[in-house]
Amino acid sequence: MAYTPELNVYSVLFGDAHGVYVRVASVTETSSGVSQAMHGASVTLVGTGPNNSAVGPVTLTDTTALIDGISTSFYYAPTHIIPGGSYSVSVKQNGYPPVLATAHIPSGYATIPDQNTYSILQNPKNVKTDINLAVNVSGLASAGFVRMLVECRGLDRTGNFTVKSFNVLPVDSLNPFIELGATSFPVRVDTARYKNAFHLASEYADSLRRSHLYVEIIVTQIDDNLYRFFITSNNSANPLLMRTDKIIFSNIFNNAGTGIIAGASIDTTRIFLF
Amino acid sequence: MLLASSLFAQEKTVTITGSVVDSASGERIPYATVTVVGTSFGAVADVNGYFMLRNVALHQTKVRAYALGYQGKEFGVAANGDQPIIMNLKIPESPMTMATVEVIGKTLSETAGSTVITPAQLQNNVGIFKNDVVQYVTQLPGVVTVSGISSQYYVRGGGPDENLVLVDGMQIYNLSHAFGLLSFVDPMIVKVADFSVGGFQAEYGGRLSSVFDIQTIDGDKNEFKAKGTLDLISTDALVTGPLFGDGNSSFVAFYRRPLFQNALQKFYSLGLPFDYDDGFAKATIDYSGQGYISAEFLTSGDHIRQQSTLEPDFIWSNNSGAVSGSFIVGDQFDLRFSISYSTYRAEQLPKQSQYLGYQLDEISTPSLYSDVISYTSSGDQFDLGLLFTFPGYNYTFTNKYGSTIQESVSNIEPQVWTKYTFNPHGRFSFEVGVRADLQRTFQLLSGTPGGYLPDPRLTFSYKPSDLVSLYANYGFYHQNVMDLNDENLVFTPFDVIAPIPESSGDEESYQYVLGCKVEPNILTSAKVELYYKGLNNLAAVNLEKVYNWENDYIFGAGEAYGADVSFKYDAAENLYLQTGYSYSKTTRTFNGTTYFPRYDVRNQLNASTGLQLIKNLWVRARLKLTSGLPYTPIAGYFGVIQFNPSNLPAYTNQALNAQALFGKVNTARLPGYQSLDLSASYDLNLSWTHCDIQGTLINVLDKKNVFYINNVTGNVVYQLPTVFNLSAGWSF
Repeated sequence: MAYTPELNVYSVLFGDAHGVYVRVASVTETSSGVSQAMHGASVTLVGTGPNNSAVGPVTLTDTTALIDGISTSFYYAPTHIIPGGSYSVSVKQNGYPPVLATAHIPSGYATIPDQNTYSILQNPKNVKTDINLAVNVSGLASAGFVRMLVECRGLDRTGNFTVKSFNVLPVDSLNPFIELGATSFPVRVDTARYKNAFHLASEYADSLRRSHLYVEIIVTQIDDNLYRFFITSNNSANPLLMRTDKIIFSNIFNNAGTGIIAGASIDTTRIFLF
Repeated sequence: MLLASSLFAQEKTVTITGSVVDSASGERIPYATVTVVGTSFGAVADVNGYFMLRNVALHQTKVRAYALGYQGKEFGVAANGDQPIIMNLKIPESPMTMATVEVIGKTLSETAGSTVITPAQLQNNVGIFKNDVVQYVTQLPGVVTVSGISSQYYVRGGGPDENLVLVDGMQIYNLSHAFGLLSFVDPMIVKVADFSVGGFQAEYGGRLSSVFDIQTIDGDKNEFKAKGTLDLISTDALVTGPLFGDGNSSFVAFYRRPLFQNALQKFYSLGLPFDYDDGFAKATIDYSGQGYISAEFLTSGDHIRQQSTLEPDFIWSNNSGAVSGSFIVGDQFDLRFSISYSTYRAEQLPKQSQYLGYQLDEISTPSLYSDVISYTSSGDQFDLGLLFTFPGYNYTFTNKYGSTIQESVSNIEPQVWTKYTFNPHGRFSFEVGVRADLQRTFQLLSGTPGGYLPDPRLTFSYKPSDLVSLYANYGFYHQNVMDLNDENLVFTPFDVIAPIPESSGDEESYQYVLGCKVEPNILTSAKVELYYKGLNNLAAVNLEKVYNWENDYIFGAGEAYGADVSFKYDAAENLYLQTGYSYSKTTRTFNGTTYFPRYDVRNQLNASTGLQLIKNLWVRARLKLTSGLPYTPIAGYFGVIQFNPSNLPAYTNQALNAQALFGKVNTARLPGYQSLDLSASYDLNLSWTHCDIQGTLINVLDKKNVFYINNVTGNVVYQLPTVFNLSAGWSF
């Protein structure tokens, strides 16, 4: 089959973030060169926030940056992503069919009633038994994918920063996200699991220096697109399968190429122990 | 069984019934011909060797019996008052009687799309395993395989799960052995097989595309005998003899397993760790040429255990048992019946394989079958049958995303059929049949989703001359099971058969066949058939299911049309030539995409020939040419970001893994397949034993035929290079 130019586009829009990164590359004829980013494209962001308020259009800037010491090329805009909104990313580049894809940003959660936060702060190793914790992701239209961790972060005896995670959601360790149907919101968190995770985090804290020691309750929500991309890109393709259209999920349609425009929300509650 | 009526209606007429049997072994001969000497009428015995001649004028009457591979013989007819005359016609075996066989008529279904396969024809087969019955079938026009050695076949654009396989009436869910090298029904236990590529009549149902009806041998009623084969792929032994010593009963016991597969694999690096066991036992009691009753057990088990923990293991088995019989009742009826129970179990253990999930398929099928054929005084036939099955399914299927279907289902499937055959030997004849799944009919009447009308089946035949037959066929077919495997896998060791959810409705097909057959003499025949097949509500597993709220199954449609042309010349004593050419075009439509399935082989040519160079030394050759199979081309490569759930924003700073991006489904084609296979065999007859030694070379020219293109690496994987197999048969 003759090679035809197509684009490869990635972007995850994080709720409440103040920046948008879109990676644009081309589908290449050979496997070498897939890491080459494409410059000179026209990348635009258009969104719809709460009450149908319009966001943009915003033209993203072609930029190259060093992130963690690695030179990366992204199209960037300092745009505030509103949880619960919908955003479309379009990419146009001469010689390639245009890309257009849309993502819905999870709403973020409303959780951990103040009184429980307070009780945790007052007596972290003796959490009250009447915690009634809910993760409210009711802003999602169809389904949501959520994980919840309790992490203990601090310095160990040798002074190195260390992190230990304790899983609350999901129960199944094979799948890092729990699938929620639209009718199951708000999610009632298993209090026993939450308490247990917090206790484990607190016990672990005993092994750390009592300085700048804290526990984080992290709730991560991703949208349908990112979940499908995640689960398909983490499964090996069957070498014996002849029908091999799109092994890895893409929400870039109209034959423009492949990739993912997705939405996610990460909410963190930090509780300092010392 | 066919029947002809005397033209001399004014004279005293009687009915002559009975069987035609091998004079040495006492075994009944399927499809033997019986004629009234000095007249032009007669009958063809049925698959059980029974015949019925009605309205025969008694006047120093003689009948003559003959069959392929047997010497014709005349028998005087003695009057029996007004009672039907029962005759047990014993004829001796003779390999050189082909030219003396006359054709007095064939059933309509034989004419339209059906092939009768005898052990003698199997000997002409050139395959990696000697005389394999499925390998023979895969060379027939309209039958496609997707590799040179596979015993999984596709018929006229039908999927692999659309083929009905019966062994003595027992339903078999998987014939394949040893990754498809051979089938589990050994040629030594095959008496005769009927293979229909479409247009089959109302006595068959439950599948859309083809029927493979295999009858096993009854055994020797007169002498104890033993025979067997030593072969690199399979070693077997069979013993047979009289059960009670009265000449009316017999038994057969058979066992087979590979003994030298390790040597074969080391020699050829086949990488196929196959291992299997087959067993067969049968006891038969005949009743004075008027009927028989038999009890049998058939077992087969495959065990493919791969050393690497990254490679899956496959284990599957078939076990079937039946009590069956056939009796001629009076001077009009032929009654057949059976009670059978068969089980199928298949398990795929992925171990640490990254791309396969766990699969389990268990099916148990108790069934009751009865069929009454009435022969009218005018020569017509009326058939009324019923088949009650009570299948139980237990299956687990996990797709690559971990989505699992797990069900246990028990069904009651009452099916009845009837057909009327008008003037089966005349210049113009037709057959009208109808087959009903009573449960579906009841659903229709009660307004429950999934119901449908009984399936009509029609066949018309016109013979403008004695040499030429023109025929047309129309049929409607339903199927209530599906294969959970992805039919786009290049290799599946077994099918995972499961019932289609009742509310979704059964798969259905409507088919038209037009044909012409020319038989200038008994040695030569040529046939052309055109067909069209429409397929609706085809069920498949939703292999892309990720979420719980997505459907487990998807439904699509299909279409196939084409032409099959065949030519056959068979002078059994020293030469045969058989060729078949097929053109076909097949499409499937799922999820709005229409594509050519991987078995859409456009052009296929099979030719085989055999020549007896000197006495007892045969050389045989087989040529197979096909156009290339469809596959999905790679459209390019892209970098895949690996999202870390614990650190999602980190996707911005990672190196990317190259991943192939695939183009439109099956829009490219592999290079064509070509293989020339040769064999030579020599028969050695000693006073106390008979031996035959056969050497076979597959792919003599060492053509590099593409098996598939690795989905992950893009590497081309080839089919077998030149492969040698040696076998030695013995009997005494």
